[in-house]
Amino acid sequence: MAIVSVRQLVKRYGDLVALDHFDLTVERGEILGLLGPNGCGKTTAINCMLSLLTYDKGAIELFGETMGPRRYDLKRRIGIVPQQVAVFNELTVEENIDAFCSLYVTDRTRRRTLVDRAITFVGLDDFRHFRPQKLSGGLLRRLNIACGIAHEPELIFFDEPTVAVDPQSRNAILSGILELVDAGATVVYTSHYMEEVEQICSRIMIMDRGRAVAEGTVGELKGMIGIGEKIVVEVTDLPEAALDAVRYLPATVSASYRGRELHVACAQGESHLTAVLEVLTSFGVTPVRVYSEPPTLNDVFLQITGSELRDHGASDERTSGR
Amino acid sequence: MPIVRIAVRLIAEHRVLFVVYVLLFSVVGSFAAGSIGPMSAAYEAVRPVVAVVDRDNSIISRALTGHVAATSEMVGIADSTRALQEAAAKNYADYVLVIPSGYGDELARAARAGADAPDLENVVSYTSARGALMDERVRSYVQELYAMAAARPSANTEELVRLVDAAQEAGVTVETVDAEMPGLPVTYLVYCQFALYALFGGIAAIVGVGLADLRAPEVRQRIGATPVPSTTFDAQIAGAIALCGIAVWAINAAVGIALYADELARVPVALTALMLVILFALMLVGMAFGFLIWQLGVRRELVHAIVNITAMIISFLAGTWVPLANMSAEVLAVARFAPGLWAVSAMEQLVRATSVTSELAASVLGNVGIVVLFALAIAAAGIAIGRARQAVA
Repeated sequence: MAIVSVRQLVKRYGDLVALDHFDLTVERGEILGLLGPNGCGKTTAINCMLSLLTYDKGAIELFGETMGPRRYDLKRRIGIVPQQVAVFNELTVEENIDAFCSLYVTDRTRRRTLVDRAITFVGLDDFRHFRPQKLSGGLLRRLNIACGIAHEPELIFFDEPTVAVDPQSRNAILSGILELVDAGATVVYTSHYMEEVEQICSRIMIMDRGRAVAEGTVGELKGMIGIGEKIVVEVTDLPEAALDAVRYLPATVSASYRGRELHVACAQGESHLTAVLEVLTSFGVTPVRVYSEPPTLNDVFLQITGSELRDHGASDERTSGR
Repeated sequence: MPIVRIAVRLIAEHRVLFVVYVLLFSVVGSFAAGSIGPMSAAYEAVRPVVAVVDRDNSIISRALTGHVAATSEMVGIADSTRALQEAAAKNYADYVLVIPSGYGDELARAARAGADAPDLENVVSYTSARGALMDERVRSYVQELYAMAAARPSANTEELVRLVDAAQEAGVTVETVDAEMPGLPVTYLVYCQFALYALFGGIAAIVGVGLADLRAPEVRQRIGATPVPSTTFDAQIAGAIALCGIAVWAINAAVGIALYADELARVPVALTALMLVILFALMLVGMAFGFLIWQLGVRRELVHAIVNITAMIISFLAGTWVPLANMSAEVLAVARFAPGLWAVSAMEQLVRATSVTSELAASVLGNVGIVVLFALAIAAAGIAIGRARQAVA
């Protein structure tokens, strides 16, 4: 049974179509990475799934049941870690986690156990009596996560939880998410950091202009684009004829020479490193340094969504009131 | 009641505002009430400090001097330009009267001829109204002399003075009459007028600042995703605001009763109870205003500015700073559209009351009803703004 099932979701803000027949399925125990440029509709999609926003068309099912603003039984099973840190500045770490947990769990004894567990889980034991203003950016993000997961939800939405945190904190957060999944949670994870999505997500969906434009595992997504390995050859000098010869190789998708480096994007298939080096040798070019790397998720993302800037006041940053 | 619990906890973090807005304003109110001075049961005419320079030394001038002496504390002064200038500059006396030479004869002559009375010279103190009061007494005496001289052209000066003095003795006598029941003390009225600031501005400031985090969009988003229904959330926020309002009202009422316990003990409990009802209605207005500020999502640093300016305007229109009687008709017309005027009008009825009657209670509760309508109107505006913001989101 799918934990999340979104079908043909349409959400408009006036003339702007934030979600355009958006489909999404998340199976139990998955970490689904939701990728997309700013304003592509990621946060809007999450807010619709949480019934924080109304939508114009489509259907949303969570845990196999229709989700709606009054489905408090379903909401009880969900956790959210919003993009912005959402905590009470006047309360301590412990009080904050307890405050949000109390909205799900009324039993005080059980709540105390859950709060302690959440504090330990995010590594804030030494800071439980600190107020948010006293916490560093990374600790604050961890508090934000603890407030969203203390009640041990089955489905957790992480909306860019690692923005502006140092690598150590990011690593701790990602490890924590994997632990949550190991404990039985299902996760929907949005981020702009491709490497972390690649690191933890079992499946990835790329959104653009309110639609799902690609979906699959990391390998499947890399297979969808025409680019294979990328070869970089550092040379002291490169004759124009040698560059042209590399460009004319059958497997070359594109080749350019900049800053004493020859960059060759190859088509998918076997490695073309030998062929490139043979061409260079035939022109008397001696490589100083050579390396080859497979296509990254970033390449996939840019290939699918294009490279033009997207921040023109789109709807992704919209949040809801009650 | 998790939202109430969180809200109360957040408000408790700003308990210093209770001290600033509630306790300090209660103290300010008591200072203002203290400036009225102690109430005396016995009537005692004011006796200004007066100096007289009699350059006439006539029967009339001596009679005038005697009349002044009878109602004032006389002090001596030299008859020189310098002494008179110093008396004026140094506020030597509340009133300095100079009777010019030939004044008595000229007054009688003018009265019999129907001409204007001759002028007296005087210096009136600028520090109090006592000198002006004395001047009024002197003018009154002179006018009687003038009238008597005009009415009895054949009477000699001694006879005129005797007749006027006899008339003066038969003047108005003043005595204090015990009412059936005394109304609330004026000092308590002044305290309660100042309570308007704490009840209106104080509650709004505490709510606006204390609950600001519960209005933050990211927190609202997080709470919106929880199993707490939006109606429950709203109801619990209202409950938290009510608890805050009742706390402010209770503190203010307790301080007031403690400060004026002796005076209040002499008046019927019903009058004090009615005063507390008026203050409760004002508290509802403060709660509604706090709710409005909260719904508007006003930033913390702006809350104090908005609340204080509004509270100043409301308390001014209620006659806290300037008595309503001194206000122009235009200001009074505007004041009718503010809750303070209706509340203070009801308070004044309780001060003027000589007994507790159903008419008095009905009249006071009528004003209380109007104040409550203001609260409802402001709360409705807050609800409408909340709904509008929700619709936009």
